[in-house]
Amino acid sequence: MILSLATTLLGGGGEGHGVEPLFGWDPLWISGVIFVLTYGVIMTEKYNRAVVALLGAGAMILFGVYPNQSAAIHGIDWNTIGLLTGMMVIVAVTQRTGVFQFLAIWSAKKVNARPWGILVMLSIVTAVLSALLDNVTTVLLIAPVTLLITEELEIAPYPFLFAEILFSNIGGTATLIGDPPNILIGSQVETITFNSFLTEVAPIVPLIFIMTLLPIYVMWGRKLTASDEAMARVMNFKAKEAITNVPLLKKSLAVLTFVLLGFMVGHPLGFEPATVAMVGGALLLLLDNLSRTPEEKSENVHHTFGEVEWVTIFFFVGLFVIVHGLENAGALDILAEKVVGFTEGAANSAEVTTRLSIAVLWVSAVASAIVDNIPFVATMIPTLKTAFIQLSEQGSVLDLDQQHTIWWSLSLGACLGGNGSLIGASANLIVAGFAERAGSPIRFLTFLKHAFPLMLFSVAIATVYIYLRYLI
Amino acid sequence: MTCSEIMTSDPVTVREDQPVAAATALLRDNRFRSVPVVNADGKMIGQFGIQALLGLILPKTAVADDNLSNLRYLNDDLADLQRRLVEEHDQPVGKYAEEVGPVLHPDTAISQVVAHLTKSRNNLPVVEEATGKLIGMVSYWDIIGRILEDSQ
Repeated sequence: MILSLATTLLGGGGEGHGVEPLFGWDPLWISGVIFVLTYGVIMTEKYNRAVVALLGAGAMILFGVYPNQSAAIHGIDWNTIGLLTGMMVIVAVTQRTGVFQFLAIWSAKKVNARPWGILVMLSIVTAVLSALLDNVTTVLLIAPVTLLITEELEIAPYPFLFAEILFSNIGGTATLIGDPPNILIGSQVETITFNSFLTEVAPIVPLIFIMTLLPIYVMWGRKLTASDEAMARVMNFKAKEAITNVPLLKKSLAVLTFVLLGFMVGHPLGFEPATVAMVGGALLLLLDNLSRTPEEKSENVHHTFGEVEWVTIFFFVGLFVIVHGLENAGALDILAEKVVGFTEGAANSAEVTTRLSIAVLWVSAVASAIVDNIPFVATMIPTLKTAFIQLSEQGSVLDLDQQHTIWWSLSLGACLGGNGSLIGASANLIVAGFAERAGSPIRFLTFLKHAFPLMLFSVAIATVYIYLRYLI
Repeated sequence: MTCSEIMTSDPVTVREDQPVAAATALLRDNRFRSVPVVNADGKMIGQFGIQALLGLILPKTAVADDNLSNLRYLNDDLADLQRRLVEEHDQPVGKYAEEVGPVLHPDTAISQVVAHLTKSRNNLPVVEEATGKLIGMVSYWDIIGRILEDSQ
């Protein structure tokens, strides 16, 4: 009973020191309760999500769901952690060059500071940067400049910020590194690579981009006007002055190119994305510090590591331990049975794939609009893997292409679903925070009213794409 | 000794509904670092100072957001700064009243007043505890002056 808790606390953490479930309770129930409690508290957003996830992970070990600490650590996907951390280091150094502000101002001037043109250009910049980096960083750097430009144009910033939120999530859908759900899928499904996302998911993103831009034009774009004087003020901006460190910019762009190429060619050579991102991050840190004194080097590296979003990293660590605990206890088998049950009566594996992919796409989209899509996808991946095994045991063997169709549905649903509400994705909240500080708050219900239908529209496009490309 | 014995009574104030232009003129003409902002009942609601005034000649986003530390690309000249200030001239100054640091009461002990002044760049307001009404200001010269006077 209490002994199991005491054993764990007093040194039962190492491998070989088996811990029995507390009070002899069924690990299935213990893990289920911890999972529901943890996710419930995360959804309330009253406590820091990383802290809650780590407490949930600790509870999984302390209550004996895992036989020892090593088994829990085994559940952490280090490829995801390495990829996220490496990219965050690269972005932390690159953002100091001012290149993101440069791109925003340059694009605004390219369209002669016409408001609708600026909205389109900033949407493209946001989508492309979100695909290559991460959404949060992209909006963190583009939203302030957007507010500055709209202030000088003397027009309301809402349509611009609204578009940036939507296109950061849409752009992020295109690549393995663009959005956390994709990072999870790319890291945990062995047969999916960086290039798979480029060839299978990315092709639909430009169409979703255009089809989402049209309603934005109808709602706001056609009415956006600014005085000649105001546009002249934006045209007076000097984009080049936004670049604060040209040598560092060159180094950053070189390393970013190396990393993107590494993602593309690394997999066949046996190099996982985490290796590429971490090597890239370390290389950029080295290049950034070449001419500094040892003290400056130390301080600068310390400062850069301080900019890594450790809350996100520890959130992932906690989630992995929780979900793996659930998996070890057999809870995901039950969830997978429900998924398999949904395919009952399907005539063949093609029909199973059709049912599952459409269901996964829409459930992921709606769920991701309501709750954080990261824990949702972290749970769905092992659940679907287990479902595939159960299906094959029942004679409905899904081949690799069919399995991939379901993974693409999960990716499209979870990433696009983040646009459904202000709390659907971290980037949405970041933009809302900027808007509020600048005196133009984005209201939850106003955003929901505009964004939810557009999210459903984009998921409908994704459904047609999945159906036409993979299901007929 | 308490605050009420050293404070300057009936300080210069600006009403919250007065225009920014009036408050700016008050700062400039008296070389004040800040001026207390009060409502119609004389209740203190904040202060309008030189930092708030400087903030008005920059884009609001630049002041609100730490991420915009580099503003070279704005390519502003004096006319741009002037334009932003003129745009705010008719706004009520209460809109830009900033929070005051420590607030003193008539019975605050003199040592406590000195302790607050060591950490504050501005003169400190003295308000009635019950009503929040501004009744005086204490500057570092109020205290140093009295000390020097007594020592001579």
